[in-house]
Parts: sequence; C-alpha cells; structure tokens
Amino acid sequence: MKTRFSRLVTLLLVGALLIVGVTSITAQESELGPITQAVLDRGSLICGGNANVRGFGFLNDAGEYVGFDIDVCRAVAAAVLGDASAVDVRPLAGTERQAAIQSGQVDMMSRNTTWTLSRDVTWGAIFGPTTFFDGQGVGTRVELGVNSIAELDGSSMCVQAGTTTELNIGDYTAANSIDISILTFPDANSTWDAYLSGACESWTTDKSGIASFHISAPDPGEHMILPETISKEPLGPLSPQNDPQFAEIIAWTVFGLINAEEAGITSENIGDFLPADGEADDAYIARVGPNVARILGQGNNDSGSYLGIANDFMVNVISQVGNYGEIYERNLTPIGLARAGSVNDLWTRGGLIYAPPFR
Amino acid sequence: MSKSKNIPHMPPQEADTFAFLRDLRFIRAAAQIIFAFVVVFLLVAMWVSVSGALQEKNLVPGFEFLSRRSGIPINEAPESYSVNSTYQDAFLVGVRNTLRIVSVGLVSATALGILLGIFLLSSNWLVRTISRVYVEILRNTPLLVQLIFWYFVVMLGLPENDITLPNESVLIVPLRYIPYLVTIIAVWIVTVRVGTLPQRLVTGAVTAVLLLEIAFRYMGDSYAVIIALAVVGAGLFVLPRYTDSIPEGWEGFVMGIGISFAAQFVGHVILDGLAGMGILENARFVYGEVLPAFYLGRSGFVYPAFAITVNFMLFGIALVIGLIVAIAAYVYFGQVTIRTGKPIPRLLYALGIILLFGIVGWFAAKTQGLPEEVTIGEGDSAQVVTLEQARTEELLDAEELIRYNTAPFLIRIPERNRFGRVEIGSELTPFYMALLLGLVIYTSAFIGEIVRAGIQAVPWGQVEASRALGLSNAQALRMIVLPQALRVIIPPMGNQYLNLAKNSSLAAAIAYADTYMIGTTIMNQSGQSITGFFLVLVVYLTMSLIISLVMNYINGRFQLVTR
Ligand SMILES: N[C@@H](CCC(=O)N[C@@H](CS)C(=O)NCC(=O)O)C(=O)O
Repeated sequence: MKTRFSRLVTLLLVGALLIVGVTSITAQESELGPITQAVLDRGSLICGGNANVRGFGFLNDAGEYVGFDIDVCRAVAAAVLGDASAVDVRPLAGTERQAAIQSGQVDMMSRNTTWTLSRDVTWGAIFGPTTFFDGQGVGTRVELGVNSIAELDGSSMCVQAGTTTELNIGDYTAANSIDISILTFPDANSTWDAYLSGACESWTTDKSGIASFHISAPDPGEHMILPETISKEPLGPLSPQNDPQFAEIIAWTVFGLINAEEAGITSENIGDFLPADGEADDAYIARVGPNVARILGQGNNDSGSYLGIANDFMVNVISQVGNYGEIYERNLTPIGLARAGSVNDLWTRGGLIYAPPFR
Repeated sequence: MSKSKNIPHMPPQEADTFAFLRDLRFIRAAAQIIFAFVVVFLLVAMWVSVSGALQEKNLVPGFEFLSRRSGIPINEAPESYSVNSTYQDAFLVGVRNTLRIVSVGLVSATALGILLGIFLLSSNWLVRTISRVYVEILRNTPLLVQLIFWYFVVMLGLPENDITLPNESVLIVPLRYIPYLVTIIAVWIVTVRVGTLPQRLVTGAVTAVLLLEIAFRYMGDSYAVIIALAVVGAGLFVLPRYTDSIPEGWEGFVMGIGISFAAQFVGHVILDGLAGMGILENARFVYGEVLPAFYLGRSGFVYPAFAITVNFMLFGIALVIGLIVAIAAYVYFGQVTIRTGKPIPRLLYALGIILLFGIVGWFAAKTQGLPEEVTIGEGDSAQVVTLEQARTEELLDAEELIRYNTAPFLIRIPERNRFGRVEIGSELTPFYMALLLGLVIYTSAFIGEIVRAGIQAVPWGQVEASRALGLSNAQALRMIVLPQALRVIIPPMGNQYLNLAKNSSLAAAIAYADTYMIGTTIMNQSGQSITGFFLVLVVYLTMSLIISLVMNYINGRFQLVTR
C-alpha cells in the first residue's frame, strides 16, 4: 500500500516535471518574436525590395531578384532558416514602403531606404545597421556642359515621389536660390524614362542609384553625375517595430557579414575556419583564434543562441551569401561603384564600415 | 393606421395590439433606424480598432501636422507656394490643380462629346465610320494606358523648342501671322459683299501669301517694303475697275493678291500700334526668325502672358463701367427690336462700347505716369528709394520691374531660356495638357454615345415635321431635336461627369500634382496616412456630390413638366 502510494507519487512527480519541462521548452520557443516565428512557420522570408535598381535590387532576365540589398535579405533568410534562397521578394515603389512596414505586409525591407528620424518614428520601424553610406547627387547630360547644380538654374529636374530625395532637392534649391522646376514621378522607371525622353535636363536620387541607372542608358557616356553631394543617405535594412528580437537578428546578421570580412572569412575559405573532424576545441581555437570561433558559433562559444536561432548561423550566411566585401564586389563593383578608399570601405582601411564585436 | 381593408375576415382586436407591426410606414422607419445603428456601430468599431492599432505603434492620427512645414516641392503651384509652406498649403495646391483639370475637362468633354454624337449619326459614310472607330478604340482601352500614351509618346515626342529657325515645333503661331489674319478677314468681307464665293479671289490671296513668305526671307521687311506693298496692293485691288486689260474672269485673282499685299500693311500697323502703346513690350516682328506667340512643344502649350502693372486700376474701372454700359445697351436694344421689329446689331454695339471704354481707360491710365518712389523689401528691412535708383541699381527683379510701366497692362510674348524652359509668358505644362487631352478624349467617347442614343430617341417625325416647316438640317438639330434629346441625355451624362472627376486622380502616373498625388506624397512624408486618406476622400466626395446635385437640378429643369 505504502509502496504503491509512493510509486504513484513518484509517477505524478515525474509527470509534473515532464510537463514543466515541456512547457519551459515551449516558453523558450515563444520568446521568439512574432515575425521570427512567422518566418519559421512559413519557411520563407518576405522581404520588401527593389526590382529596378541594378546592383541593389533588380529583377534580371532569368526572373530572379539580384543585388546588394537582396543579398542582405538572403543573408537574413540563411540566418533564420538556414537557406538563403528561402526569400520572397516584394518589389516596393518609394511611396509603398511606409504602408508595407506599418501593416506588417513584409517581414523586413532592404531597398535602398534612408534612415531618418521621421521614418524611424512614423513608419513604426526599427532600422538595422547602415549597409551603404550614400549621398544624394544629380545626374545630367554631358552635352549640356554643366558642371554644378547651380548652373542648372532655369532648367527642370525629375525626381521620384515619396523619397527623401524629393525633400532634399526642394530644400537645396530653395536654400541656394536656384530656380529649378522639380517634376515628380511615381517610380524609378518613369522618372528615368522622363529624363531620357527629355522631360527634364537632369534627375536626382542617391548617387549609387544614379550610377545604377546611368549604366543602363542606351549610351552611358552621354550622362554624368555632378560633383555635389547634397545630403546624407545612410541606406540599410529595416523591420516592423513589433518584433525587436527579429530586428536583433537582422542587425547581427549584418554585423556578422562585416566582422567576417574583417576576419578574412569568405564563402570560399570558410571550410578552413571550421573545426576539422574530431578536432578538439582547444586545438581549433588555437588554430583560428577565438574571434573567428565566436563569429562562427564554434568551439563551445555562444553566438546565434543569443538570438534564438542556430548557434552557427553565420556559417550558413557566409557559405551561402559571402561576407560584406564579397557582396559588395559581386553587386556594386560591376555598376562602377569603386569601393577602395570610399566611405563604404572597412574602417580598418579608412572607411565607415564598422561592426560591434561578437562577444 | 391603415385598416386591412382587403382582408375583411381578420379579427379586429388582434389588429389593434400589433397592427403597427404590419404598418409599412413603421417597418420602413424601423428598418432605417436599425440600418443607421448598424452603420454607426460598424464605423465606431472600425475607428476603435484602427486608432487602437495605431496607438500601439505610437501613431496617433490627427490634424495638427497640417500646419507644419511640408518641404515638398511642387512644380505646378502658384507663386506663393514654396518648400517652406505647410502641408495644408501643399494639399490646397493639389485641390486647386484637381479643380483646374476637372472644370476645363467637363466643359471640353461635353463639347467634343456632343460633336461626336452628331458625327456618329452623320449621313456621310466616312465621318460616321471614323467617329465609330474613334469611339470603339477609346472606350476599349484603359484610361491609364491612354494617359501614359499622351504624356510619354505625344507630349514628350514633340520636338525640342528652339527659338531660332529651323523651328520644328508642331504648332507655332508667330506674331507675323497677324497680317494673314487681316487677309482672311478682308477676303471674307469682300466675298460677303460680292455675294458668291469667288474662288479666284481666294486663290489670289493665298498665292500672294506664299509669295510674300518667300520674298520676305530674302528682302527683310523694312517699312519701305511694307509701304510699297500697300501701295501696289491697293492698286491691284482697284485695278479691275479702271482697266479691261485683265483677261476675262481673272479680276478676282488680281484683287486677291491686292488684298494680301495691303493686309501686310494693316497687320504691321496693328502690331506696331500695340507695341507703340507699350502693350506688346517684348514683341519682335521679324521675318526669317520665328518668335512664336503661341506654341505647342515639349514644354507644353505656351502663350503670351498678361501682366498687370501699377497703372491698371483706372483702366480696370473704365473696362468694368464699359461692360455694364454694354450689357445695358444690349438689353435695351433687344427690347427695342421686340417693340419695333427692327433688327439691330446689338452685339456689335455692345462690343464697340466695351472697346471705346477700354481705349479711353487706357489713355487715362497711361497719363498717370509712374510713382516716384518704390518700397524695396518687406517689414523691418523695407526701404524707400526712387524708381530711377531702383532701376539703375537693379534692386527690383525682372518680375517687379515690368510692374512699373506706364501702360496699364502688358502682353508679353513667350521667351525661353537655354534649357527651353519658359522664362517669360504663360504655359500649360505638358502634364496638364496630357491629362486634359487624355481625360477629355476618353470621356468624349462615352458622351458621344450618350448623345447619339439621345438623338435617336427623338421620334423621326419631329425631324420630318421641321423639314416641312422649312428648317435647315442644322436648324432642325439645334432647335427641335437637341432640346428633346436633352431629356434622355442628361441623366447618364451625370455619370460620365462623375467618372471624369474621379479619373482625374490617375494624374500621378504622369506627374501632374493633383489632390491624390499630393495627398499620397503628404501621407508618405508625414506618416499620417489615415488623416491623409480622409482628406483625399473628403475632396473627391465633395466634388462628386456637387456634380450630382447640379446634374439633378439641371435634370429637374429639363424634364417634361407634367401635371
Ligand atoms: N534613399 C532614398 C531614395 C530611395 C529610392 O527610392 N530610390 C529610387 C531611385 S534609385 C528607387 O530605388 N526606386 C525604385 C522603384 O521605384 O522601383 C529614400 O530612401 O527615400
């Protein structure tokens, strides 16, 4: 009777422990934010992107989205889902961005979007780290023989609606008393078409965007970018503010890309930085150094687990997408945006690309 | 309470307690009240849920932001608008632009549509078929596609606009066409006098015009040449009366040439007169160089600007008085005609009176001279200097300078800068032109069909009866058929007007800054989507309601009064 009773008690206790254990596991899982959870459930990442800007976000002839900004989406998909191809890109025009973020229609956005105070607040967004430091410029025809924005006095200029660009150029011309009539078009393609067909003598957007469109001109040599940079345009990813945990994942994926470049880990050589079969932690860390081990979540270091995702998430990211430098080379060098010596070079080489440490 | 008369066997006491439930009036009222409750409930529920969701995101919809600086540049805006204006100002610019397009659009679409409706019924096969094809093509392609076509293909397809020759613009009306206008009027008067259409007269005039065009290229157009032309012209005009040496039937030809030559002189006198009065301040009248007064090119439709100067007041007053007198005279002579049956050209009299008062006013204004001193700047920094000093030290900008002119108003011929943008003169932007063309032509196709149906609804006997009365086809259409057709035409017309007003919101696709385009920009730049949408909705709703009300009123007036 007594034994039977104690057995029952033990059984109940074990059962209770099990239940507690299970609930605590679910509790840990539910610490994932709503977006991260939704992405995991869906098995893909919905990323607001661009379809028309070569080098940044472009729908190529094969029907695939490619570009620097798209690679940031792919990196996040690799981090969360382990698969860089699990990205569903939604192209967004300048004016559609706010609604897309506010309504949670996209999990994140990576679409040459400038981080500003008002957007940070009124879009209900969390901006991730800046991936490309840009500034607004003006593109014009070489044949006009114009060497500065001031010389465009009396002409007209095309610009895209719903951008920081349209506000900056308004402020710039008013502040410098330059009389330029500003024609606003709904999206990048119509702005560019209007410029090409002569509706305006010049057009303006982020300098990177101008470069990207100029190389697609029938004769790129006919167009030039004026020397002035009239604004700061820090471009980077952003996500809805209802999931700070997901925002952390985006931020640390980008930081991981930068740290990997700094540490010299590339998609080609990443195998050399992983523990060999049966290699002991001590030996491994001695070989690659503790920093690399932490970035890659190897050698008994916590990395992705802080973020609620695979501890070695950066291994997936780098092997599938590459490090920051590789992404830049692949997408932006071809459109003529040289990196060496520019603000977008690594801080160790005098640029602004800098990331906090994995520790 | 209505007793159920048709069901007489129903027990009366039951009817007394719950009879009201069967009362149609009660049921209707109850249904209305319940419906109103449901609507209010839904609206409140929506408001609570939306504002709750927005509150969570720290986005509280409100109207305060409207008084903040917008920073939005708008190209199609009045002078007073700048990037430092408020969101509210920006929005009002949008509303203004919508009204500019909708008002002109409604009138032009109606005019074109009526014409089209008549063409659709034409007895001429070619006219009928062309208008049928026109209607079918327009009705069956999306308006957005048409708008993009009008802007990107037509407007931007127009040639660049150089002021110097060769000018490839599609439509240019240079000032030197004034003499040709005079020619046309003169030929018209002469042919009316003669009573028939003397083909040779017209041919002669046109030949002379062509010869002159070529001759002037090489000779220039000094006054000596012009006066010589006038003399020769007058001579040719009277020649047939004094000599028989002209071959039989060719007198008209010679007279035509004479008219053209003489008209050159009259045209020059008119133009130089205007220039001498100081009205045409920057006009040049040069052959071999085209300085267009009206112009359709890539920069839109360009036309002379009308500028008011500091001396306008007196002239304006004279003109207004002239107008009142003219109207009074018009009415008075109308009554005289009714009383005596004597026809009086009262419109001509009225116009003459206005012209007379205008000229008197002009001289009165001109004799005023200019103010000695002008104020430069505003507020604290304002300073008073003599006009002379302001001129020599260039204290006034070009716009202000032309205000200080003795002539009460100026007509300024368009001039463009090296980028082809209009510096002097007025313009309808290519965006406005494209949107207007697109909307008008699209809507006219629908209106054309309505008009056609309306005309066909008038019994054929009416036309036959009017023919029997001796009315011409045009008279029958104007006085018998159209008034009756209007009863059928007006109700569906209202729908087309509503469509046109709402379709104008497609403007954003071609960069015309209308309510919707500026509304979305405001939503984007301020983050206030809810308020922004609300404002845009209110504008379109108000516009639609006004159109509906007006159309209902007109409809009420035109329906048959039955008693
Ligand atoms: N960085 C600016 C401008 C970004 C932007 O919209 N750029 C244009 C021109 S390069 C673009 O990407 N347009 C793409 C599209 O509308 O399809 C912003 O965030 O407002």
